[in-house]
Amino acid sequence: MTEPDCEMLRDRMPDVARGAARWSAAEATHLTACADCRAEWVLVRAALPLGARVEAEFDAAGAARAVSARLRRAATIRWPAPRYLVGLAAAAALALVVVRPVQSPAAGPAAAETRFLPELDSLTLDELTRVAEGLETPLTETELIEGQPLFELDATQLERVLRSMEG
Amino acid sequence: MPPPAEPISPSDLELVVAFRSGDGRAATRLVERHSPSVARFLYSAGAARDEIDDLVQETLFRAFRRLDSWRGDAGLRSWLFSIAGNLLKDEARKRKGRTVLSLADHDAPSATTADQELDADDAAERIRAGLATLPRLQREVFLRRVQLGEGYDAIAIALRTTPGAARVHYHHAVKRLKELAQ
Repeated sequence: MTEPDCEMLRDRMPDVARGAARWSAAEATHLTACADCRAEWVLVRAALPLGARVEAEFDAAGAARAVSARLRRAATIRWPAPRYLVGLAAAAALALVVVRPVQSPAAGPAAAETRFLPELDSLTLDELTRVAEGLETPLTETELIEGQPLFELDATQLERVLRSMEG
Repeated sequence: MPPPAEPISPSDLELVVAFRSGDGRAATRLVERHSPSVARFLYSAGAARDEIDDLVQETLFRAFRRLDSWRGDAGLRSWLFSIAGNLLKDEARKRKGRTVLSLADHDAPSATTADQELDADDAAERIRAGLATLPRLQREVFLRRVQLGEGYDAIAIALRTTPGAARVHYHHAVKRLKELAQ
């Protein structure tokens, strides 16, 4: 049998501390002799009850009521604009967000600079959302912030997504 | 060694399927089943006690709104912890790095608590304070490993890293926490 080392004990400490495993005689001997492992064992056991009181006192039924109510409210929300209007808004917004070639004396006539038009800044959250909704296809290929669905992004995040598509 | 836990019926997967088919009671049961451990995870990871309710609700609301992205390779609870971790990160960012950790009066042990319990609470609180100073991955790997008892393979799936990297994060977390305890 392999002589237990610190690495082996470290791997098993959480399971033993939680009562899901037990130390073998050889492991117990190592633990007695190794100050580093003992310090870690104390740490793991001390961390185990962390937050236990919060868990025990948590009002799960209250949370269930609140989450269910939010889900019901969210289910009743519908986008007011028909889909073709959303598409139209998206097309209009895209027309605003253009790549303008800029003559640069240093780089010559071929150089172009991507410019962000200020129009995006003036859009409201609703308008930004509609623009982003209209860009459904490209957005599905874009990694959204934190994997959040479109409807959960705030105005700043929506604007960031849209800007990331500009250039 | 304790006997293996009885499988819970209905399973999370069965409840998720029921919720998707329009059964609102399934959502209620899932929240009741998992919200206390999500609360514990958030608290252990540094959330202020008076913000726990809101954070738990937000975590579960987000989870239900994107249930399609639960791949089932990680347990539902593990997946909920990932969402909670992201939420906590967002909150910390909003506060621009201000630490979320708080030690309100109601977090402190009562005067009537036995000495031994007091010591245990004190030690746990010191660990909590130490955890709050760790990088997010180190903190979450440590909590998942110690409190959930997840193996490195499961942690790697949940945190989208490799088992080897998860092990290294755990090692660094333990090392740092030991230093802080000295």
